Amino acid sequence: MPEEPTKSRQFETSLIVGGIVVLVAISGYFVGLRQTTSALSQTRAVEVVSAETHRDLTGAKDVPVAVRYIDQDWSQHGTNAKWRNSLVDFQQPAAAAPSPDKPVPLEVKMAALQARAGRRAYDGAPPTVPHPITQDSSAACLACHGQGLQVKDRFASKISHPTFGGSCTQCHVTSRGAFTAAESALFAVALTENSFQGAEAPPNGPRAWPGAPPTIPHRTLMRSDCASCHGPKGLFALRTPHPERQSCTQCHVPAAANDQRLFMSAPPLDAVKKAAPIAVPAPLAIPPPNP
Amino acid sequence: MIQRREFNKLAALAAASAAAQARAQQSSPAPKPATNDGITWDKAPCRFCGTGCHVRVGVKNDRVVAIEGDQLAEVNKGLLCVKGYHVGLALYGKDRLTQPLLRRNGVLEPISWEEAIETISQKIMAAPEQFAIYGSGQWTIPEGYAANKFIKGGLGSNHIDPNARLCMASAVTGFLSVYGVDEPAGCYDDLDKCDVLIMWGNNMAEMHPVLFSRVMDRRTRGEKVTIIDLGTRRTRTTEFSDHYLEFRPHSDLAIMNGIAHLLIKQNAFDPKFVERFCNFRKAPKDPLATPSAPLHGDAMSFEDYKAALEPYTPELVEKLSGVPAEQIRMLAGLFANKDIRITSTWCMGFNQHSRGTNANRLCHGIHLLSGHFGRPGDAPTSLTGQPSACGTAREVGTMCHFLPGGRLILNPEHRKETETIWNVPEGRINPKIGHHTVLMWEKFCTPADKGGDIRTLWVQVTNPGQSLPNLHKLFKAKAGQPDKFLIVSDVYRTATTELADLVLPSAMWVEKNGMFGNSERRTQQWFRMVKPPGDARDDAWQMIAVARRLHDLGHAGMKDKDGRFLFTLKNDKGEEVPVWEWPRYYDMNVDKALFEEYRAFSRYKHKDLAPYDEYVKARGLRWPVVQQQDGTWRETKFRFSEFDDPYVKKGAEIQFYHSVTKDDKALIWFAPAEKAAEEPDADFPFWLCTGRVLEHWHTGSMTRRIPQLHAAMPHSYVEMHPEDARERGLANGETIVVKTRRGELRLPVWIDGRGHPPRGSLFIPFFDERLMCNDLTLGEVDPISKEPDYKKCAATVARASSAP
Repeated sequence: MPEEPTKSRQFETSLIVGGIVVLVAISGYFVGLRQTTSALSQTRAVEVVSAETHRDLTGAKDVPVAVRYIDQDWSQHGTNAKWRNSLVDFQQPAAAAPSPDKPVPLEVKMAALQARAGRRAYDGAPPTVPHPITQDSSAACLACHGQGLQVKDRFASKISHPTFGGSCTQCHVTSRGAFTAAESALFAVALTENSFQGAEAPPNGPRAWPGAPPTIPHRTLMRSDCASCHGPKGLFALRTPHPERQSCTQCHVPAAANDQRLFMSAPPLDAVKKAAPIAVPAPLAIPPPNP
Repeated sequence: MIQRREFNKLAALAAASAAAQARAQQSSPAPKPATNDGITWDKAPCRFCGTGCHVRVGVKNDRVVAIEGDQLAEVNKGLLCVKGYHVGLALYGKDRLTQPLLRRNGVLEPISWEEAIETISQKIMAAPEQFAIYGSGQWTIPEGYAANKFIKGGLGSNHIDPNARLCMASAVTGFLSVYGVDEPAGCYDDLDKCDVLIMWGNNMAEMHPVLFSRVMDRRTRGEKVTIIDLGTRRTRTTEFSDHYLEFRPHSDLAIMNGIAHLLIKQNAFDPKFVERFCNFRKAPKDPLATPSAPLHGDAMSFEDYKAALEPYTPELVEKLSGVPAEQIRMLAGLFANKDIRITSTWCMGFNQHSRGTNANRLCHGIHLLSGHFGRPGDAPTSLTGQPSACGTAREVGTMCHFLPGGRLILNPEHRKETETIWNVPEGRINPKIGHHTVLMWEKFCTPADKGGDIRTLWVQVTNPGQSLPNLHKLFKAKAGQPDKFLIVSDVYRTATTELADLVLPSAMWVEKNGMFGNSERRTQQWFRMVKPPGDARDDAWQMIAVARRLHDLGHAGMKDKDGRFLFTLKNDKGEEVPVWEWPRYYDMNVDKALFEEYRAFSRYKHKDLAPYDEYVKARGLRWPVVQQQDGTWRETKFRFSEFDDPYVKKGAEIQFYHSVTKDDKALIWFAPAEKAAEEPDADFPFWLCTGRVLEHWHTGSMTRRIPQLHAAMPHSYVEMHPEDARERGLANGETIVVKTRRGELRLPVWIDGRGHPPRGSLFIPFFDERLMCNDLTLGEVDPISKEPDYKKCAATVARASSAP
């Protein structure tokens, strides 16, 4: 009978549609739950001078009232407002990440190192932060920099020293000042120039022969997580062509001259220095990009 | 096999000290083995705060090119703060002073060093008793020692005081009156062991960031530490704290009395500890009875002590401080628990306090009363702001009432011992205390006919034109007094050089050999690594050169008992070197010679220092450093505790061997809660507090020339509560006028910025030489320590446009 298959198809269709509706509803419910954050965390804590606010939290007039959704527009006013609001202006990445068959040309790599140097007083200095920061807390830093973040061609680099997880602003200060340009123009004294010339980042690490894994050319103190620069959230030109391999130091060894912890048992500095150069071969010529 | 390894190690040691010797005496930095990138690395303590981090300094072509945290240093274990990472840039501001400048017709004009030394010498010769030295906790130990010997042992005058008077004098009087000897019993290791860290008015996240991270990183590793922030405004430190107790300025005294009250009321103190190790004290009836009366106090029975604390119920303390009674009970509950270890830290909140000595005493008191003392992690510890406030100001005794090694001007035996070590005739040292900092500047700024008995003042390594309180009275009043002569040795032009008559260009940090002493009794050493710019020269050389010129001019004080020049220094071969001639200065290690002489002073108060060469090998050693049977030198981490301090008797457990009461006991003081010297009123309704920020070090003369730090914090500001601003219609960033009875200042208001003061409270950092908050501060001093209060005075604000 022709009716039979039609009916069952209708039934099947309504079952699928119904199922989708239920699925969407359930997942929507949970997604919704997750996204409903309280704006309380964005407000300042209560001032606690008066004892009353401590003791009697119910009915006290100083208790913060839950912020209405309409007032939650903090992204328009926060310290990173401009940064957030200019997301649309970001470019699609021009360069592609390196791959085993497409190594990075040296000049591209040098340009990347140059860009990197712009935020550091010398190679090894803590980079300054290129965007305004929340001045009174480091709590938000790791939201982007904990695992790293990419939006189009912009990267929030992953923290390279995860064991120091706390007080980010102790070492990283913003290069964008704490004030507006107008205020700074009014009050800041023109800075006398500084003639410091910092050590530059070394180029490629030496290889034993073309094609051998390069040794690590730079010092690694506070740079224990290689993925910070060489992983998928690093600058394109500095990324590893084989991100799937996680144990970097299996093949890439740090130069002993750069490890200041050597010979811990012999404190004299000169003893350390005298012993240090053992593992440093003379730097080899930079291998051609396509061996 | 083992023998061979030992032999290798010894050989390495020998080679190392030989190389160090050679380097120290080179007139130019000696070549050292370079790494493959051409950079040579050497150790040095950081130039900035009192934490005493060690950095590795990377040098290439006679210039500092890189800095790294030193992983071999126990203090910082490889970590630094943003100032430390950029410390190398402090040398390279383009306006470094490179030649001596003399003011002629109002303009500073270049002169030769010979002329400069001659000018100073003539000024001193004209009136030695009207000459004073204003020094610094940034002086290296040998520099401070040279200045101290020059003026006290040479000129027979005690008019020398360091800027450390402005930052830790109250900590000193606190330690002296509680333990009979200065400086903390504990050390930074306490931070690794404590269960509870209480920061008393101490914004450690910004001011001692590396120490703060030392605790925070314990949390990252999964340990539990309870962090308590007691403050008068919310700071970055508050953000990391488990408890934030906001108190009314100056009411810290009431809070500590409240804790002691509860410990006694609830019988929760440690009677065994108190019985065995403590006596009780109160302020003396007659503080002028003897010079030491204010430090020794009057005896008080436990019953009297109890009665004195009786009124400080949690409810009264709540009324006085604004901290809820519940929170006072919480604090007392922590101290009542002997199973946990509590470390207290404090810095300028207690010290820059018109009752600073008492604040220090009460904090030691609650630790002693509860027995939270003497175990690792149980310690009351003061932190210092300058790299050698402990080493140079306190230990070398570059203060107007001290002699080296914890000795006193007023004690005839101490004078005699000092004269013996210096080999000067008996009676050379003046028995009268000199002018302390505030008095010294007051006298310098007062005309001679009105009692201003200081005519020539030599400032080294500090910037009083910005850091003194109440600048109009204590510094700016010097202007227009032609008979007053101000000499300033510094590396850059500062607010102080503005009024200087003679400016001397100095070598700084790794441009010279040096030694510092940090907050935890750690003495550190470094070698000169690069040449100073232009004609800049070491501060110690400047002092010795003037001494030599006075010697040649016939000043009798510049000769010792045997007619030899005071600074007759010999190299390791025993040959005299005329170090007052600059080209010869680095023909020997002057630091080593001065330090070895100074070392003789260190044993009297059991602050034993090791020979210079031991410090060359170490990343600092904490005194007392005592030689072992096998000839090695051992530092002491926990003073007065039998398990670690070699000077404690067997079986004593804890022994305060410099006890004021001579019975090996420490003193628990009672001090009442009192009002601040100036409190807000109808005309000046705000509290004004001043302080520091992470990016800048003190008056900013170095850090403001470092682009990264300047960009992050380009100018000063005033913090205000948003409600206070709203009431006055002030917008964030608007220029306002802050006014006190002493002056006024126009600067931008910053609401919800770095810190959050409560209603009725303002905060201004002091690093900005254009926006100087010390035009406003009060400068009321603690009667015992003579340290000014920078944290409390009354102020008012107005819109800039509506201000008259």
